[in-house]
Amino acid sequence: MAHLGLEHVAAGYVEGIDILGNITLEVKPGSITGVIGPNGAGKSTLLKTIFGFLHPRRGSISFDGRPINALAPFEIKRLGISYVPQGANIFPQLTVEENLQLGGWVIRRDGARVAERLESAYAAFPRLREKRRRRATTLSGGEAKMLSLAKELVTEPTLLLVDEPSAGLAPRIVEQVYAQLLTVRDQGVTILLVDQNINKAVQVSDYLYMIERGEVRRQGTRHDFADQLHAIVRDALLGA
Amino acid sequence: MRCWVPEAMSPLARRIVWSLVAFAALSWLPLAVSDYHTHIFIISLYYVILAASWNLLAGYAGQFSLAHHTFAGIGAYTSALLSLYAGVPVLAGIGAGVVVAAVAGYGLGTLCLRMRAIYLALATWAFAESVRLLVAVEYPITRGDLGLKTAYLFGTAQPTPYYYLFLALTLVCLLVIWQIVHSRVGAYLRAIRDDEEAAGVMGLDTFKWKRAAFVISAVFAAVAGGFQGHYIGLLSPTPMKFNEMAMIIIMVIAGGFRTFSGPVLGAVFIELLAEELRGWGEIRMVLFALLVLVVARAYPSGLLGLCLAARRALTRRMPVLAPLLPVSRPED
Amino acid sequence: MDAEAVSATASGDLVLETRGLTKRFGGLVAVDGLSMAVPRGQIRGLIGPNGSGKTTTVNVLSGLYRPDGGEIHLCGQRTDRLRPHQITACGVARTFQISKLFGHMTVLENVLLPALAALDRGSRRPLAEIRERGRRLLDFVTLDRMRHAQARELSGGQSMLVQIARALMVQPLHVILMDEPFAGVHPTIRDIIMEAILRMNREESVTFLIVSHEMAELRRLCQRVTVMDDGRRIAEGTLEEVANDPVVLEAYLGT
Repeated sequence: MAHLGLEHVAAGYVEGIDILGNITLEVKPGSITGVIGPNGAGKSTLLKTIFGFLHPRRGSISFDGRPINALAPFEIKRLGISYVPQGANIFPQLTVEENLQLGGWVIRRDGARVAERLESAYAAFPRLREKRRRRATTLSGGEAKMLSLAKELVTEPTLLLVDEPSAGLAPRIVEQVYAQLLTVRDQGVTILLVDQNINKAVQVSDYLYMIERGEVRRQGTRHDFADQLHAIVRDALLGA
Repeated sequence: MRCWVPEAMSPLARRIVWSLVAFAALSWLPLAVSDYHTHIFIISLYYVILAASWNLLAGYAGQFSLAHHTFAGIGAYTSALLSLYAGVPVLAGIGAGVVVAAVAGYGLGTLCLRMRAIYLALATWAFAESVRLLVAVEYPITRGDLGLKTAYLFGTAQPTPYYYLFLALTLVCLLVIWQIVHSRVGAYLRAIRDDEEAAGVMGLDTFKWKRAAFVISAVFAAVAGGFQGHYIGLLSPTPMKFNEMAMIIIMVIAGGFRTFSGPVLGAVFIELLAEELRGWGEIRMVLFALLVLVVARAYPSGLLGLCLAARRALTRRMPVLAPLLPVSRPED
Repeated sequence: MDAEAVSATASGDLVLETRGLTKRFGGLVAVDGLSMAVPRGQIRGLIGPNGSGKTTTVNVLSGLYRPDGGEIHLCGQRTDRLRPHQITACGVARTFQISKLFGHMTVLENVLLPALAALDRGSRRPLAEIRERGRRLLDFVTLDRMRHAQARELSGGQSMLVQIARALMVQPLHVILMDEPFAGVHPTIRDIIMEAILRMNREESVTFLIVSHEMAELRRLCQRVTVMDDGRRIAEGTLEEVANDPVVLEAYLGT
């Protein structure tokens, strides 16, 4: 099972401005680790830096003991990390099946494995099997999110990076998405979850980090956080 | 422009003086070259007006219209039909053509107010094709592709008087466009081009000025087209085909899109080149298209950019030449 | 409406007022019956979790979107059916979260544009005076030395300063709507922005409505804050008051 470690990581998009200043965190194998924080704190940037869209300016990132600072996203994907961005990250004009196949792009040469992985995806998400030949534009909001998740599972990742799974979804669907994440975790996939929805993040995560202005301000188990939620938000609002 | 004109004159007066100087400087031409070459220069001047006025609409106001040549045609046909069927004198006919074009420009502008980029291009293209087909189809009135004879403005087909006419027209048009571009109206148009939403929120009536840009450019095109019609002596729907619009675009881009002098240089250069290569036939269009690709990809400042670079190189070697060559900012 | 707004209305000096403002995008209700009132001279914050409708509200107020219901009164006039330039003429300016400068124009030309546009509406200010005011405003935001630079070459923070100078050029100026003026902006520039806001508020009684997530800055600037969630107003008061309001805290915690 996967283990991810970040030590004093700093990163940013523009020269001279650090979005992440000093992030030290650990994602334990088999857990769901949540990262919460106000807008602009650097949550999305964190996932992009881990997945290789950005390279850390300082600090190190290691996956199962091996440094992954300088790798490109497709190399990171081959190591067994998948990234589920915000929103419905699917190709609308392609069919459900084609979307899943594209999810397996980095293992495409192994046709048998891809076919087997597609079968697993359909087993885990029967709704997608029903709609396998339909264009992705015909999917509902919840189904689209399901597809974007299933697509990232085709390569059999050991670590899944999930960016704000509930963003833009109706409350009923939000429940389903988090239930799916729990199922995925139960199958042995470690999850690093970034979320605006603090309530849900606390419900679902085993361990949480709160970041603000690019640094870790608080960390603890679900229980540590659950009692403190109001205080956490109040402090954030008061700019403390 | 500096040095030879007294500083005491207002900028406008100075520009008028320069225009007169330019007129005088270029008036030797018909006396020194053959009728054929004079004719080519007249055509170049015609295209200078079309290119400069399209650049006002597309380069400065950001409205990439594909119907500019149509207004030249509207100017020409209105005048020709009025003089043919209603005996209207030529100049009055041209005036009427300008009015019709202005109204049509206002209508087209209004239609396109909420359109951006590709939709604007498609809508104006549709307008252009509709007008062309109307003219071609109504041949009992317009004689369609058989050609409509028009009266010669100066009673002769000899190019010389028309050269001076077009030279004067071109200089006046360029002067007016310069005034517009360097006035607050020019700032309005550029703001609309760069960010229409922000322009509106900063207090600019974007609808009004977009329409105005359509009307103004249509008026210039109709003036050029009207006089051209009474020079060539024969009108047909052929110059209202898309080919003509493509030529205008090529001239402006090759010369330097969004600059003031670019279209002027581009129109003259492309027209002269087209004439030189007349023997090549339709292959010329391929050459021009390639030229546009090269310019757009590698040298967006076009011919004007080349001229400015040459000027810089020359004045570095021979600084004494500096006052003789006009100073200009890239926008010029 | 709460007590403060009632007393302000009684004295007739509300610079911004919405009643039941609604805006829909297809099936999504972005702004849902929003009623709020801002008296003259106040710096009001508009906060709320992501997707609560704050930016849409500012866009509707400035005329970029047509409301689907409700009323807007700006500077004493009913403005919900007006086009953006007409709303600006009433004395309303705004800044955008992303740089919406006129890229191919110089910094100075950008700042002058609102005054040039006013000439079209009948204002008679001489060009020399307009230029002078433009330069003073650029100096106010410490960017006078960049006045001849092309706007598209500016950094994010500099663009925001120019947007502010440009907004300050609107005359008459009664209220400025700001959408995330601090987002992604360097701390030094944040201070300049805050100074500018406080000065304009103090010296010219300009009213501000500021959408932001930057609580530390809002705390220093805003006398009062309106909280939105799901397109509705859920609380209003000082930042301390709303930060202790359980309804607000639950909204930020998510469903």
